[in-house]
Amino acid sequence: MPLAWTNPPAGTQSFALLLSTIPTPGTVKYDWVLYNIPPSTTSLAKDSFLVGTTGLGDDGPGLTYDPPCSQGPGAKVYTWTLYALSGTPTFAVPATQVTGTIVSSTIASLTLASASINLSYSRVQATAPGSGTNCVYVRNSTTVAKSGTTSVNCDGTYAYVSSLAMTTDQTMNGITSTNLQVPTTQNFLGANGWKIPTSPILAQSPTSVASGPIGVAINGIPIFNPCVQNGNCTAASGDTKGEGQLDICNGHAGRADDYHYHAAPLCLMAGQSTNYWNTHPVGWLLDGFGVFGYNNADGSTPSRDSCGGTTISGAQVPSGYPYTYAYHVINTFPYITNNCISGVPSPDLPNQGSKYHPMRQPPVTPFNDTNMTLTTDPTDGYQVLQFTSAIAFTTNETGSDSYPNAPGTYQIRYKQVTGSALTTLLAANKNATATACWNFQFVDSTGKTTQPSVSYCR
Amino acid sequence: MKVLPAVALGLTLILAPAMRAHDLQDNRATLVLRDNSHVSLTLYIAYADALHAALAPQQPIAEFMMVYSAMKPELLQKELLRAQAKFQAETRLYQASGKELPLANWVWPDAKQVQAMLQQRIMQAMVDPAGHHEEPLEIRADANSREEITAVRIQFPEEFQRVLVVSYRPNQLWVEPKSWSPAIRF
Repeated sequence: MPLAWTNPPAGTQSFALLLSTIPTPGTVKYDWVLYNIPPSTTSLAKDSFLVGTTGLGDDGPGLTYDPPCSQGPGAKVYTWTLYALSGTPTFAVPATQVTGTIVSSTIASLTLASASINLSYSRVQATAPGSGTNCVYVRNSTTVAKSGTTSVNCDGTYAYVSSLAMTTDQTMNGITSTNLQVPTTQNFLGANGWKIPTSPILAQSPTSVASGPIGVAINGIPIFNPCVQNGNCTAASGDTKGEGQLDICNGHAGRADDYHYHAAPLCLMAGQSTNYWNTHPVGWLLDGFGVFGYNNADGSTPSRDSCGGTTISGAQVPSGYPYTYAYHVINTFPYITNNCISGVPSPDLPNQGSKYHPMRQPPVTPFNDTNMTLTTDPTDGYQVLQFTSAIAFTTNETGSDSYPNAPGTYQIRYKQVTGSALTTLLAANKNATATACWNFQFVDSTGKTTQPSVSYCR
Repeated sequence: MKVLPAVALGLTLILAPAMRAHDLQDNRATLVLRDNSHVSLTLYIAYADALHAALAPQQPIAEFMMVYSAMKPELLQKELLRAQAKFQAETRLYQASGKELPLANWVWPDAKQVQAMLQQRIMQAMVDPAGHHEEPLEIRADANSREEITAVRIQFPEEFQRVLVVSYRPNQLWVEPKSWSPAIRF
């Protein structure tokens, strides 16, 4: 639900918004602090961000406007107060230290008018997903991060780890291969936060994570598998760290200027002793299991299964950690996971690309094409995608050149590969994580295949 | 030939560009100034979309992809040359003074590379719609000036859509044998 307003007083130069609660009589807790909102603004959409300047809430800097979602039991009254200001406030402290109290006192002399609404909300302990043990553990794990800002909300199925994917660490230092990217903010906020299952279960078989994000560090920076963008890497080929693509923090910005780690987040971990991370997560993978330091909680060496995770028990389990399976970092390939994760992944794994900032997403071109049909050729079992072109595509050319794309029927024929041919294809290194292959034939308007068959494996 | 009833009335073919984080198909240009007089341009663009817009904008992209992925490579090369000529002519680089810096030494992906990309994309759309992966195709050009270049402006063909431009000027110096370089500042 958005927050909207109308009829600001004449002369309004900016708005400020404070969301507060009164936990105990005589005290005010500021949940949300926002100022320098442009005077043309008339609403804040759910999950809006980069509108105005965020201040420091009493639970830490809020990153986005979110509707109230009490994480604990009991009745609470939330008060939104919007201030129309005759100017833009200036503060005597850095932006990172501007609290609700400071905003409230600073804007007093600038306030032309204000309006408030209250919302009362109560939740019983049994139905408060934000107060569940696992949710609280994930949330608390992020509070120790000194080099990034996250917030965690839960819905009973997932902990949503929100961040702008920026860190205060010195990023992009130490890269020895070419990387011209510049880390920029990403919108991993609210519903677009990273979904970490709060009731993780081990899957019957591992899930391939050949490329892209596989989790998120406690400072809100995504964690990727070790590979360059082609995926399916080995220590000898395609290892980002081995190829000098990572900075001294074991991260870099990808082609979307999205900063992420491919190995142990060293700069984040430098904020605590090495052993500290044996008992505190440095991050969470998308199957819901935590990533810890180099060793088990009792100092023993993790056994590391085929995915790099470890089943832990007894003193190996960090205090308070709700699960008996965990990942650990190591300083050698594959650093965290070995191209797979063991638990049932959250929807963010297959949908990883859609989480990135819309500005960075290319135009997607879905369409219905009624000029095409898909049939099965009974003579050989191939599926046939067929398109009949009544006209030449290029009609703006004249002269003696013949049109290469003449009218006619074009076909793409494909059939799943089985037996020894499939075995041969899957044995190729590039298909290391594939399980199925197809042969494709491309037929032009003359009815001829224009080149040898092409195989595609996934 | 048996017609599959579920799809006979109209096939939905989604040709979404690659979207994994490492594969984001940003239309991107890198401009590098060296020796105050040489600008190199490297382009990574959604080439299939640009070709579609340049060669057959009146046709749905699925039809374009199908025809061009099945076309004989030598014929495709002919088509590519036509598109490249348009792209080259409409990629304009100007100095701050308003004087044009002609881009030269264009290097374009060849027909084999382009057709492999088109085929890869259409194969993914048909059997692996969630598994987008597309190798970027690189386009290069450069420009030289007898005058010192301090700033440039660039314009791209409409078919490239929005392009994110990254520009920088590397520091270069020679280091003689057994000699220390001067302080290298960043």
